[in-house]
Amino acid sequence: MQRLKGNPKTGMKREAVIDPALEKPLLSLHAAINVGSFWKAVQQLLSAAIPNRLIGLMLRPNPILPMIARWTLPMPNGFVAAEPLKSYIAGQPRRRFVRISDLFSNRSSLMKSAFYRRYMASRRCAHGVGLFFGKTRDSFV
Amino acid sequence: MRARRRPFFWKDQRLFCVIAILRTAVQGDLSPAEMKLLQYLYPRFLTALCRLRSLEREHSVRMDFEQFLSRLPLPTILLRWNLKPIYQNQAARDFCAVWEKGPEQAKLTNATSPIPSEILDRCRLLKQQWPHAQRPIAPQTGFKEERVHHPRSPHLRATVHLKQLSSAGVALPHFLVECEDLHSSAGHRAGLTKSRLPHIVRLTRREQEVARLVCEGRSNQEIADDACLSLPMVKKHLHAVFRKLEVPSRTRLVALMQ
Repeated sequence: MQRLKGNPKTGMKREAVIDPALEKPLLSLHAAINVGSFWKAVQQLLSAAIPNRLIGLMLRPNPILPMIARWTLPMPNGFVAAEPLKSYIAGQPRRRFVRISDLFSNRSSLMKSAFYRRYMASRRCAHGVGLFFGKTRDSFV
Repeated sequence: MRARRRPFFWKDQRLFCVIAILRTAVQGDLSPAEMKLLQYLYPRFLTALCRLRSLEREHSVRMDFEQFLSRLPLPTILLRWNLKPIYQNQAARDFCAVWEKGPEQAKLTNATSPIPSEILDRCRLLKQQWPHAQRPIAPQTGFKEERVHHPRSPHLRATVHLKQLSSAGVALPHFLVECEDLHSSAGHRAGLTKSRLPHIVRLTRREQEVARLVCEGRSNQEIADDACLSLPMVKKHLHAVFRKLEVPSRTRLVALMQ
């Protein structure tokens, strides 16, 4: 985010709506018409917004369909279903952001965990955050 | 307890998407500024996901309707404002071939024909009239209809409608073209009553032709010669006619049609 100069005639300063570097990826995100183009736009947007090692998208648009999982690097299955993330999600309903540090009381317990060994250590990752999107069950057809 | 067993469910919400971002030790944990940026991006992701879901749902319904329409033997063409085709069913392709090449040539070749220039010219005329027209308020506004006859075969008729949703603020109007062969329609009207029309509508153009020739008392070989078809093809069409009209024999078929 940055601060831009406002209209010189009015002499007012306005908060920038968005970083110019994110404008194009955001347009791609809103132009996505299928899962492929959506995933491409998510990668572009997050790569431009936040330095990262890898990005993942797990999508289950319908309860009867299998989950769609895409990662920028190879990743074992079952990331969301792995403990302690699974219990944390179930216990913290409607939480939109979950950091890896929220799941473990301290750094050494993270390092000792099966979650770290399976999903993070081999990819040289030590930190992370998950964005969770939900929909009321009544609104699903 | 249910939520604990199924990670893709929250208490009263269904979790339908997760985006994960992992970072190295050097990159460190997310700073407050980065978390603020993610909070800004969150509703954008959600909007895009909801739009994606609506688009996919609309697309699947449209595909179903297109499949349904392609099975109808009523020649129909939909054109955009710029006269590019949106949809054209098989019967309409056959009609265009008959219009361009004549009935005999159209039967012999399977090549598709473009939409006839006479029909497109009439669409252009309606486009010119559209900006000056007074349009009634209705869910779907039909501005005016124009009828075009083939210059040499006036029994081939296309009715062009220019339509627009009254709620449309951005989308331009589109054209609906209904095609009709008055000869075959007249023949059908002469021989068939309205009560039999639903049965006929379920048949393809070829099946209708075969059914009509059966009713005239022709044998399979005579039908094959008349309709430029092979004998097995006639039998296949006849089998489809029996199945669709749920009749066991040609005698019952004739009885049903009469």
